[in-house]
Amino acid sequence: MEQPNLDYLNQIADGQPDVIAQFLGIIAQEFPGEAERYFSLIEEKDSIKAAAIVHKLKHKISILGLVQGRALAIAHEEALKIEDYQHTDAFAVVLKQIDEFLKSN
Amino acid sequence: MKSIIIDDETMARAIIDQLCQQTDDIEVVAQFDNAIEAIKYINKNEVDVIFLDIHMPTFSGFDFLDTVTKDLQVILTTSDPKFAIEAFEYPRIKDYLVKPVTLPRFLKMVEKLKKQPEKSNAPAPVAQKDLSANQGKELYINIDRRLIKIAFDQIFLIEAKGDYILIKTHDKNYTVHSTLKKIEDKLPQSQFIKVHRSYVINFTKIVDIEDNSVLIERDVIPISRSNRPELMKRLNLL
Repeated sequence: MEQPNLDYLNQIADGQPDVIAQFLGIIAQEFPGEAERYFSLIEEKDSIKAAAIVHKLKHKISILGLVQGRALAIAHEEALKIEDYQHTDAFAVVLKQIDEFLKSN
Repeated sequence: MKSIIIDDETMARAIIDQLCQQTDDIEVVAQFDNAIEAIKYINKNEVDVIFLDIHMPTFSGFDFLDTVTKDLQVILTTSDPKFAIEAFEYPRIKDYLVKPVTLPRFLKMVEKLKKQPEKSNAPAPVAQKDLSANQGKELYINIDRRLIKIAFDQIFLIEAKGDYILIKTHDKNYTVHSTLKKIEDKLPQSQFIKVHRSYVINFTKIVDIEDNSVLIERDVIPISRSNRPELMKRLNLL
């Protein structure tokens, strides 16, 4: 199973630790709130608004190198637009992975 | 080249900013989390390049392009490759970067920008429409497998909302899975007019027009520069 990583951020930051830390700081600041909002919207069955949050999360997922996670986010976003919740459980696993990664970095 | 970044996501702005720092050719002079503030800035300051996100709440990147006609080079930044075809409709769009943007791809874009000839940006001519089309009195919309009849006279505006449209009538609002283009083709062109990328209005329901907005019932709707000439032509001005 793929794991979140800093490969992309290393490339963008040209290996500068302070720049990588700055990027991680932004993700760490925004991710918990977005994830929480997403789970609330899923619970409220507001699939259109949930799709919009998935769209935002998708970028963070790709930044953290999760290629399969990004593909899942794309499928989930499109499915939610037509009130299809089939990818909800799998997507929750990706969010949990990121949450754990951010807590350990 | 002086550039600005318009993106509602902090992370996306930070990445473009960082990428710009890795080249001597582009300087980021301002960043905005919404397009409206960016328009105010552009009106007062000189800008050569705009990094523009498409997906933004209330005022999208395409809304921005429909509103601003200033001589600018635009680089679209988006997570959705599906908008690429639509992007070709705008001559000002010089490149299309899919997020997450990599350094090699970014540098390729910079080279492309440097090779661009001098900027040119004449607004597109407004097409003449066949005003005799669709002279019926109503249309049917499909909601939960029910076909609901709506009289044209009852509709005062239609708003594009992603993959959906919102039809506002005197009694009720309807959200339908469709596009503005599709419903526009079904409406009588003598009665309805597109005033903005995201809005078609019932011409007969206009209360007043002020600068770049029109009041329809209680809704204030923006008028894009490209749609304004056709609207003004239709007014029975004293």
